[in-house]
Parts: sequence; C-alpha cells; structure tokens
Amino acid sequence: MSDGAGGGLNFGDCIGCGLCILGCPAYEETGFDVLTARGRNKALQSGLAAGDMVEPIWACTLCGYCDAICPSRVRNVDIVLQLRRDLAGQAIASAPAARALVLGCTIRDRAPHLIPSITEFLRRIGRPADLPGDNVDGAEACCGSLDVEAGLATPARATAGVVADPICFEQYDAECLGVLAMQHLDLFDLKPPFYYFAPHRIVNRDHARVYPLYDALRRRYGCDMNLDLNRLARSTSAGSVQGLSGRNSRDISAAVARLLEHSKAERIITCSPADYLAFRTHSGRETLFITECLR
Amino acid sequence: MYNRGVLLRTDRASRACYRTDGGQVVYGFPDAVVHARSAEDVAQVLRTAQRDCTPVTCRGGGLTTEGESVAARGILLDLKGMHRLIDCDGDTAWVEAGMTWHEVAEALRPRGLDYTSAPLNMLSTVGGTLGVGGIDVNSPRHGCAADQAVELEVVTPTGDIVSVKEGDEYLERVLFGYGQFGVITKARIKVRPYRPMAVRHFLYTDIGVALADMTRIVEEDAADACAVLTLRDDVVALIVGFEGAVKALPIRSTPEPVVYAKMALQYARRPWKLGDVPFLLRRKAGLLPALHDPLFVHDGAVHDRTVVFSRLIWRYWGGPQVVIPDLAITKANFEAAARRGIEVCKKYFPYFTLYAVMIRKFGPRPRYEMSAIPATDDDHVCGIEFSPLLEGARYSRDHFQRFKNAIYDVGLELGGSCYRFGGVMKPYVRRMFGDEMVNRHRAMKHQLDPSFILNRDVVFDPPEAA
Repeated sequence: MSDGAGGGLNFGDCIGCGLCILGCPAYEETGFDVLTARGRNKALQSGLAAGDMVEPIWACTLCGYCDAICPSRVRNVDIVLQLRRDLAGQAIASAPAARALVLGCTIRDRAPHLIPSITEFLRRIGRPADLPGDNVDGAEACCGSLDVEAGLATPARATAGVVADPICFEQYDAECLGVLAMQHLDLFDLKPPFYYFAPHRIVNRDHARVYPLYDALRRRYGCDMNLDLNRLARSTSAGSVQGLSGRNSRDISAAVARLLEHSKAERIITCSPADYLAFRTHSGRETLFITECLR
Repeated sequence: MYNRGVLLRTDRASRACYRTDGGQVVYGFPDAVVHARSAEDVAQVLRTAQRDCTPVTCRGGGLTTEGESVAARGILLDLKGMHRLIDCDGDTAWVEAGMTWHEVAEALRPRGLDYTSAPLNMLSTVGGTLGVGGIDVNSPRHGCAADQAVELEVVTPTGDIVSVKEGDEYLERVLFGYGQFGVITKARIKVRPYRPMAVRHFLYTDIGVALADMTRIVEEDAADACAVLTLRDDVVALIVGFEGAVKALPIRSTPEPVVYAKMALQYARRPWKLGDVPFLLRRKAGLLPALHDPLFVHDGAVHDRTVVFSRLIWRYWGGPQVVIPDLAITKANFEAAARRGIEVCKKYFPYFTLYAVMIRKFGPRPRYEMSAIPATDDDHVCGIEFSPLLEGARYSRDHFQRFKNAIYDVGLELGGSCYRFGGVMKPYVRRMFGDEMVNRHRAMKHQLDPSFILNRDVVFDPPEAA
C-alpha cells in the first residue's frame, strides 16, 4: 500500500471528520468505527497492514457512500479493493465480453422472470437488447464482478450498452438500466404511495448526473426513498459480495427494516436486482422491479 | 461475524482508529475500546474502572480539537452505539446521547421537526455537545445546544444511573461540565418545526462595522440566524438566515462592486500581494456555491441547512491539522477582541478566517460557572473563532500552540474566556476561572469520582499531579 498523492492510495488524506460513517451500512449494522472508512484510514495511518484489518476490510460493501461524501476526496472504494487484493495475494486479470445488454448473474439465476419486461423496456426506448452473437436468455457469462470485489481479480473496463445490475459496474462502462428508467418515467405506471429503492452504487458513484433523476422521481410521486439528508443513497448490503456470496454475511433483514422504518408505503419498487430480492424476502410488502411497472 | 454482542475490543485496528481526534494534534492508543449500547453498559464500565482505578475516556463524534477525547491508556468508551430516538412529543425529543446531530435530524424529519440548536458540525454527538455547549447560527435566539436540554439520564462516575431535570443541581453540573461529573446517556432536548432557511450574505471591508451590524440584528431580533465570516481581514461577510419571509435589515454593508474596487486599489498599491488573489478566488469558489446548490436550494431557501453547513465547514476548515482557538467575549470587547485576534493571526499565518457569532444566555445559571460562557450580566455572549487556513502548508505543533496561547491571552486580557479550555489548553483553566472556582469544582469532581477515572486529564490535574 502506498500513501499520498498521485496514483497512490490516499488514505493519508483522511482528516477524520466522520462524514463517511453517516450512511455506512457496516456502521449502521454494528456501530463499530473500525469497520468504516474513517476507521480503516486511521488504522492505516497508524501503520497497520491488511493482515491486521481483515474484519474491517471485509465489512465494506462498496456502496460508495463514503467516497461521495468525503470532503478530502479519499478514494475509499479503491483502498478497500487494494486491501482485499493484498489479502488475497494474487489477483487474476478478468476479461468480460462486450455486450449490448448485461443482465448480471442475479437476474439470470435468481430472477429470470424479469428478463421479458427488461427487454420490452429496452425495445420501447430503442435500445437493442442484443448484438449479433448475444443471447439474452442464456449465453451471458458471469462478468467476474464478485471476484473483483473479493480481491481475487483486477477490474476490467469492458464496454456494454446497458447493464441491468449495478454490481456489474465494477466491470463495465455502460448505461444503467435503472437510470434509463428514470429518463423514461412516462412509460411506467407508478401509483403512489410507494417506496422506491434507488441503486446506491449508481447514485453515490455518479452522483452529479444520476441523483437529480431520482430526486425528480421523488418530487413527481412524493414517494419515500433510500436517500438521506445528504442526498446520498443508503444500501441494504444485498447487492454486494457479502450479500450475494453469503461470505461474511450481513443482516440484510435488519437493513431492510431500518430503511422502511418511517415508510408506510405498501409497495416497493426498485431497479436493483439484488435489492429487489431482498425486499421481496424481508419486507413483507409487495415488491416490484421497475420494468414490471411498464404500462 | 459482526457480533453486536462483543462490546469490548482490544485488537490493534479497533484501538488504532481512535488514535486522534478532530484536531489531530494529540495522539494516543487506548488499552481497550468499549462500545456502550446502554446506560447499564456505561455503569458497568465505570464501576469496574472505579474499582481498578482505570482511566476512562468518553468519546462521541471524536471531534474535540485539543485531545479531550483521545485516550493514551485505559478504556476508550465509545458512546455512538447509543443512537436511538426513543420518543418525541412534538416539543421535546428523548434521545440517546450517542446520536449524532445528523441522526437526530434524520429521525426528526419524518415528523416534520428539527432540533432547536446544535453545532454546525453534525457529526458531534448529543452527549458530547451538551458537555461543552454547542453553538449554532441560531444561537443568538436559542442559546447553546446545552441550553436545549430539559432532562438527562446520567451515569455517575461511580456507576449509578440517575435521572435529572431542569432545576436539579446535578443537571447544572453535568451540562457544560466537560464530561467531568458523569456520562450523559440520554437527553430530552427541545425540538421545533422544521423550516428551510433563506440565506443572504452582505459584504464589509471593516470587521468592526460587520460585528456592530450583527449585534444590532441580534438585539432587534431581526433575523432567525446570523454570523460573521471573514475571507480576509478586510473582506468580511455577514451571513443572515430567515426561516420565513426575508426582511430588510438595519445594516451598513458595502456594495460588492465597491469591495472589489477597494481590493483592486489595494493591489495596485501593493502588487506583491497579488499572490492572495488565487487564494481568495479558491475560498470564494469553495464557499458560495454550497449556498446555491440546486440539490439543497429550492424556492430561494436552503433545505437541510444543517447538512449544507456541516459539509461546508469540513470543506472550508477541514485539513490534516485543525486549529480553532476561540474566544467567548463580552459585547463591549467584541470588536477589540476581533481586531487584536486578527493581528495575532497575521503574525502566525498568511491566511486565516474569523467566524463570529452571538450566543444567548439565560440568566445566571450555575451551569455557566466554569464554562465558555463568561460570568457577566450581558444577555448574550460573543464568540469568535480564529482559524488559520493552511493551504497545504505544514506547521509544527509548537507553532500552533504559540498561536493558540496568543489568542487565548487576548481573550483573558479582555475579560473573556475560551470555548475550548480542556486537553492541551488545560493550563489556561486556572487563569480563566481563578483558583477558588477551580478548586471548588475539583472538589465536586473528587466527591463524585473518588478514583478520578472519568476523562481524568481533560480539565483538572489528577491527584498525583496535584
């Protein structure tokens, strides 16, 4: 690990303000400073190495809240990924294929019933769901994003047209299906009251461009959302290597309960596949993927 | 894995993450960290520590600047795990003391409510704030955050859990008590309806005129919030907030073009000072856009101004070394303290900023006795923070200490006191309050905390040193 400016990891820039803990899912679950970006950075500043910090390194779900709010622009997600690679010892290079549509493993394996509505939405907005050689029903292979998150692989920047699952953005430069949905709200039948779960990775990491779209949704429908006073998105941890692999499992049920604490909405809508499954399982409320709301 | 039942941690990472506080001047490693989840947890720690004479250092947001929440040994008692809003009746909220003010705001907002007065830095916790004061831009009307508390649950240094209300002697000792007389575990704080705030700023070329105008606004109760912030000693902004309609104000600000013309004239006379221009532009660019950010500003008003201000201060003041000596001064000496403080700043740093506010007092309450609130008959206290803007430069600890001492000396000479008098600034305690007062409070401390374990080196000399 290197400390300082330039291309190095800049944990040395952490001034300890603690803004990052406000929406940190690991902190919300445990209340332990050491599991937050501030805690990791202070430990690194003290000279600790990855081997001294296994638990803090694995607590992070890469939701991006800390990067978005940090006044010192510490790149906390990069730091965690590097620490995980340090722990893993050797990371392989991954090479996901370029595709018009990347559905992601969660949709393909655990929610294939969403595929028709996704392709129908893309058809309506004039975005092809497949290229010659693509097969949206089965030929897509795992892009390796979970291996990247686990420190077992280095990130690739493959190109894709549309990516449906935010977790695949570790591997692709593409447009997010959920963001496209926000740009075409008139295509959907969204009857308030509902709770909309915005994809935290997308909102937090591409905040300036994406947040206004979700804010517009909130203003238009008056819906409850997982956006906090900082205008950043909170997560359930479902769409992370912990939530998806079962490794270092998180209390997703408790996270869902926390998010819904003040919402009386009977219906939950989201454009994040893992969170769609999490809310369906744990909320006890009707849960829909955004494309299931097509008119 | 993340076992919430594990409350005591001794691994290196868990201890290392508390190595310093917001000031980043004092460093230390506790022997163990305890994450309290309830008053019973706190009581158990204090009882055990009292028996074993183990120092206990309390920590909330960890945003002290003089090392008050840094533990060099013993137990670091982290209270942030106590962060629930327990109930709210519309006028008051009963909250756990480990809640940050941000969490309080998040919890109150769905009810259409807001806290009354809290530090601009929302990462501070309720308990830590009530122990020192807590100053907001609306403190001219509402006073310190500590004056919003009407009931407390406190764990005494010997581990008894007690409830106290307004009028009780012990409550008066714990509020503004710098954590010496007990650990606040719950507080009933005043709340009020949430209202967005229209923010206006007016420029001045003279700090005295700006401070006089702010004083007039406060005395006439002409705005809901106000503060003075300098970009340079001759570029001063009066910031005023309105929670309803924006009103005309009785002020004598300088039109912005005139300010710029005066600056241009100065640079023409002293071209070697032109190097200041990029600094000024950078600071202006860092400050003003936040007050016009469309994410937070709708219909001319700042929504969630607490979030906006909190993030702004870290962007504006934050850095690897945070030094904020601040004076609490009488109205009569407000301008003199500002001018003399500016001269001190100029001697030590090329760039600096002043932030001045007024704080309402509520009569001669015992809680003010040994606090940042000077013992005068004024209905308001005047606070001035002097912050060097380091612009990436590094200075030695000694340099900062000499600067802080020089500022504090100004305050004492003018009959005021200082907001941050604990930790490394402890030598000023007796100069500020006098031996009689300090000895009396120290005796109270000794009676309540016989083993002198609780935040032991923050304000009073421990027995072996005395």
